[in-house]
Amino acid sequence: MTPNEHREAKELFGKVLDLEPQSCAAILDEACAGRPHLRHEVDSLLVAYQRAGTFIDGPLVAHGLSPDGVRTTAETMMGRTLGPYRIDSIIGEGGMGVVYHALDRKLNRPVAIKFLSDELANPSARRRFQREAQVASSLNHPHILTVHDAGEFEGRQYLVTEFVDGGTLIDWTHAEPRTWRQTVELLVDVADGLAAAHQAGILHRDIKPANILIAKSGYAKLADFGLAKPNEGSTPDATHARAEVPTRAGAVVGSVGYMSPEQALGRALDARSDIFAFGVVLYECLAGRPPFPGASDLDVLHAVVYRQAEALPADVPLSLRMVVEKALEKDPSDRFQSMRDMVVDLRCVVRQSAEAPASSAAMHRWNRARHLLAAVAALVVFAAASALFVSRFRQPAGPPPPLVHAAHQLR
Amino acid sequence: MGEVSSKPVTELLKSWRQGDSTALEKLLPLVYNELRRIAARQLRRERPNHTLQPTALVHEVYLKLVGQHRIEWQNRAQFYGVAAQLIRRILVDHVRNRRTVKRGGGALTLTLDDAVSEPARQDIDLVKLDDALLSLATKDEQQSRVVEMRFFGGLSIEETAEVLGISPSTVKRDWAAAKAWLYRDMSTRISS
Repeated sequence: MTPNEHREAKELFGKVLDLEPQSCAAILDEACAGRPHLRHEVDSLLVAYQRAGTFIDGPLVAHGLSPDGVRTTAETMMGRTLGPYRIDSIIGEGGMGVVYHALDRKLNRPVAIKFLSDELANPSARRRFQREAQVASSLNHPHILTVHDAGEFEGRQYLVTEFVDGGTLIDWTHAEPRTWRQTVELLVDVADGLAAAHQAGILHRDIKPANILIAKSGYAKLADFGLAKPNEGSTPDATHARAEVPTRAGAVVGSVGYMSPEQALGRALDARSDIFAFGVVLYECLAGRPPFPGASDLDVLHAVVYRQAEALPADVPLSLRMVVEKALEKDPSDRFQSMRDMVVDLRCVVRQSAEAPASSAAMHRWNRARHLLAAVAALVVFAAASALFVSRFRQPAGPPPPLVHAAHQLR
Repeated sequence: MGEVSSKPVTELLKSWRQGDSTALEKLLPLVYNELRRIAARQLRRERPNHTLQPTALVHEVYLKLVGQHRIEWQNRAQFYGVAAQLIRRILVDHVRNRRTVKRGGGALTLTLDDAVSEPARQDIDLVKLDDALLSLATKDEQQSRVVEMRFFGGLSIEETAEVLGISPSTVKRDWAAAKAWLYRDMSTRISS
């Protein structure tokens, strides 16, 4: 991207940033006609802006500026030992607490240790953390992050999981442009993991790109199982659910965009809510933009509940578009009724297109049909002609028998 | 450390505003030294809970160098603009040095505290941000300056507009676009 193109994208971005999605799309359609590059850049900036939250919004505070992390707690944990685990570094920090990279010295393998943040250390949160740890560790699935261990250290709950060297789905989509096929092939495995969890009676409740880890080998794992689930029956706890990406009024944000309409409305949740969230993730990966954009949390929630997502790009196969649209139905009873059904349909999409490579599947079928049609037509003409000929030859005086009759005789 | 008299700083700012580019050359080391002195004093304290606030730092330096004199608002903005650039250099250098002195690895970040709600905070790797800003500057110098002033100098939109001689709405747009661009750039770097 040249400086000129960069400036052009910047100006367009500024022009559409505060607009309603419809008018935004209309302006971009016009301004970027015939220039997919520019369109892609602006869309990508819009998505990044939304994800950025309060990123670099001041005020800037340097916590002590020591080399091993900035938090008091984070600093004191570094180099410490919990049973067989030696903590090496911080991997990240999310709504539920800090995640560290550690070495399991007994088995000599890297692990990730997640500490429940102090803010959530009330008795019920602890119980839930423990229970979910048990539940998650019972889920033995190749695409669900494996829980090795759980415990308490100096009054703080922690969870030991396998360590995935790589990033999240967010990094994966940003690293390079991905085809719909790559996206579906990656995510269908995650979908399978989610289906397995549902079959075991467990909901995730916080499906989003930040919770899908991608190893450098390209292997996907669903993480944070049930850990961030809001209490059932309570009003939608937006602050809780969006803690992953901090925000303040006006900035847009993490999990709000992945909430199902029923979640946004504070209604009871079931597996179909996870299905919706998974649909949002798929949509976002395929379109490069969220299905329900908005300038604030409230806008997003409003869109989730009332607005239809714009159609996916035309290069996404129809069968795949239909799967995503079905997952994004507002009414749970119109969606896939089980994650397993969705997995089956996603696999079908991949398989169908694999049978007929290079996008010529439809063309190929059409060509075959055309040949068949031509053959049939030739046969009909021939049959009719010969029937006519035969009838004239045999009955020169009488009227020709109806063609229907001739056709019938042919059989 | 000799105290710097405020008089020359005020004069230099004025001359610089009037188009004397050598004034800036004389001004920079004065401000830089003072900034470093105060930053070093603050950073020396190793209590993990201790915080350094660059914006407050600039403010302190400003008061020390210019404060006693009445000064035009434009000059103050100008001063903060210069300071923002220097603050960036001091902080990033500090982080870089500490990182090489001590063993490698470890997330070295600054924390953004949201004044409104405590839990709403994000860690930012300052060195990575600096790299991203350098790369942004090759495409759009003005955008990177806007970020420098807003983020490192704590300047308001109006002040930034004044320093750069552009309209506040342009600052707003450049800021939003730069934020998106930098965020994207830095997230991609994490994975590579």
